[in-house]
Amino acid sequence: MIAGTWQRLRRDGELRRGLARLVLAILAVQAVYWLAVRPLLGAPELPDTLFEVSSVEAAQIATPDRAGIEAAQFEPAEFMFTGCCDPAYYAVRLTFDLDQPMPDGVGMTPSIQADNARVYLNGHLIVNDGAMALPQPTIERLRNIWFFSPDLLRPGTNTVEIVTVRATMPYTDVTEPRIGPWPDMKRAFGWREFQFGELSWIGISTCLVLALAALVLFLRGGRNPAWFWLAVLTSAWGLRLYLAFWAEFPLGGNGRVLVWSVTITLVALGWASFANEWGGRPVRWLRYALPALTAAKLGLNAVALYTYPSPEGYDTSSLIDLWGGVLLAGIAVLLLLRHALLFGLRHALETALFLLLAMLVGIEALQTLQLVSHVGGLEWTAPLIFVAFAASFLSRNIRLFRSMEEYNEQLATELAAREKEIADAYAERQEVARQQALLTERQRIMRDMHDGMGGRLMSIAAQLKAQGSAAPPPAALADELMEALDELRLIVDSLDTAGDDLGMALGAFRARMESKLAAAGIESEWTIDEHAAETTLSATAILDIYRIMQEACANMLRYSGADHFEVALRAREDGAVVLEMADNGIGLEGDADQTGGKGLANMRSRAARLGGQIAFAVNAPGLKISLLLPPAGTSATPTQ
Amino acid sequence: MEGDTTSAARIVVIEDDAPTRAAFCAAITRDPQLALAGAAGDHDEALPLIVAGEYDVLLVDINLGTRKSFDLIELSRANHEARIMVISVLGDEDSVISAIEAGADGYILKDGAFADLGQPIAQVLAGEAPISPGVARHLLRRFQPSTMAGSDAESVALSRRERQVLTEFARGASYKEVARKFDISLHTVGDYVKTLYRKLQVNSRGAAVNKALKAGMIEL
Repeated sequence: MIAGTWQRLRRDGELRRGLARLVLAILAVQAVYWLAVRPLLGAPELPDTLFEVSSVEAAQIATPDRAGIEAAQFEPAEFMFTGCCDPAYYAVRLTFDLDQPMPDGVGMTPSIQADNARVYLNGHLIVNDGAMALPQPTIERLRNIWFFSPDLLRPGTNTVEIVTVRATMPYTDVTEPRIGPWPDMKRAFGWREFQFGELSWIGISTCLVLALAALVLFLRGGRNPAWFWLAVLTSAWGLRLYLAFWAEFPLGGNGRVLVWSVTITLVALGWASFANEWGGRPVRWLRYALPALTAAKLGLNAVALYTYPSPEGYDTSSLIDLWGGVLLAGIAVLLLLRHALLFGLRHALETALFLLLAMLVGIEALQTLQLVSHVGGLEWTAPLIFVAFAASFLSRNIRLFRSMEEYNEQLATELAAREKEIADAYAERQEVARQQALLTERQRIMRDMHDGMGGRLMSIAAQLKAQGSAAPPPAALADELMEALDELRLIVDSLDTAGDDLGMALGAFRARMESKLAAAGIESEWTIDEHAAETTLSATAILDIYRIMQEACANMLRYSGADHFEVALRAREDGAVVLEMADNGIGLEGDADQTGGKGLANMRSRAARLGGQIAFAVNAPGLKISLLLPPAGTSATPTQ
Repeated sequence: MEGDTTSAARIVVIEDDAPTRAAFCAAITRDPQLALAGAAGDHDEALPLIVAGEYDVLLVDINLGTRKSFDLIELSRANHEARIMVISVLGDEDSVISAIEAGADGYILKDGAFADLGQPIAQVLAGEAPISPGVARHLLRRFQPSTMAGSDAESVALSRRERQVLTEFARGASYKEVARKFDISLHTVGDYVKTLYRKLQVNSRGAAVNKALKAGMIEL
């Protein structure tokens, strides 16, 4: 399998690039964290002007005040001083020596694991936060730099007495404090104050906002479990940070420890479950196994805390926290690896951030066992990592939106394809209708040809056969043949333009007629209204219109003496179409003879067949013929 | 060729109908702008004339017989820069379009009276392209999206303006009328027509490639 993977790696450039991206992302994230974030948020550099602690004594005391201290029997002690195991007050007395005056005062940072503490300097109470009295002391953050006023300091030996109270945990720890000139201490530990104070609040609000955002995304974004678990993860982390500020905790000592366990376990659960759901292809059974494991672990925590005697209960619970955390973190790391394998290393940045979190959680677990102290700094950096993670997650979501665009594009393409199909189908139907029209028209036109052209050609043949004086001159015969040819062309054109619009039908006629008119010295002018041109008529209707126009042109050529001819096709408001032909000849006078009269009658009968009307008007000078065609659909079909 | 306005344009006529051919030859001889370079009555007679290539314009009757006219057009197109015009009877615009697909530059309609050969020939020599309503109408039909398949339709689809111009021609408008209607120059109108003809050749080539691909004759 490894050989196969290696082969794949060698062949698959995409995979190689993906791996390179991942390695780069991991290196970059680790470098940024350890070289920039961690030093910035991490342990301060100690000033070299610290005073040495010259002696340490400790005692359990009866009351957390001067009287308690005075009454106690102090015994020599060492740092770290540890008191155990029931809720109790302790006093740790230490001395340091000053060989010169300290006009700016002295600062001391304590390192105390207790619920609350009071500090006396040379017998004066200088630090006194919250409540000290058992059984319910308040829980204070003992992380400030305490200020020793120069007024209370003495040259030579100074005495500091730290009185502690502890009810939540069995252990009271006092590690060696750092004491130095106030300005140096402030410079070195001011940042630490900020960390334990404002920065924690920033972390809490960040987690709260992230949790809300994730919850909204979960509820409104298709119930993707990944968002839910991200909400669990961030809110649990926020709670974890907030617990340190919760001075008057209602559930008592074991309750507080248990809530602490619940919080950090929810962080681990949220994290592992998120890792499972992250890529959209979760390991199904883990969906149930992880919460079950968490519940079991918390059950064990509760049993240990409430049934074991102190301090075994607390110790056992801590061990359960440790191994539960390691187990869940291990699962999350495995899921992370699975994710990386499944998704072709596409989410390099998220993977790298995830890896960093995994490391920090591991370090945190070791910290719980007090095997290391404050190496990772997870407590303050986690919100930052969450933000980075959410940002990279969101940037991938923007990519999702982009793919939404692609999806839209695809839809648009499909839509266009469908529209084309419909258009094609429509065009095809039109073509079919055209063919149908041609078929039905053909019979009529065949009959027409037979009657009209057939008769003409027969007459020409008869004339050609005629002998002697009956024989017509060849020129006359040629004219008659041309007329027959014209007739044929009209029929061909009417068939050819069937299905096209009226404008095109007139165009065909114009192409035939224009040169003929030009040869006769008649200038013609054609005006085709766009709207009227779009009327569609049957082949027979067009043939009738052609014949009317042919007749009009023939009359004009023969009798009118016109030199100008105007054809106009107009649309009326009611949808009717008017075809006007006007010349500047002699008008109707020349039409008095037989042929002309017959011509007009022919035009009238054809107009009637079209379902329209024809009118002849004197145009001063000339003749104007108006053919009115009814609106399409009303009676454009010729009457039989 | 185009620049050769001083000397008469040399014309070769290929027309199977003897009286028509004679009428064409007579019309060419009459016109001082034109010079008759040869005449042929069928495909075989025409071949040596085309191979020799001593002409500026080739007039080919479109109805020499199955594909024979088109073969001649393609031969001339492949070997010379001479302009090619097809001679067509009114009403067979489909053949005219096939001829343009084969590479013809224009056409002359046989309409009884062979009034003026000089004008359409001069037009074609000047790089213009004649278009009749019938040809325009057939072009419109030819470029209807439904009659073209897939990628061909894409590559040779008509623009809106081209379709408008073509429709005007189909309705009988002259170059001048089209120019006035769309407020463009005569030259631009000519460009439209040439573009349309070019697209027709593209169309034909695309269709040929497509057909060949489908038949498995060529592979890409």
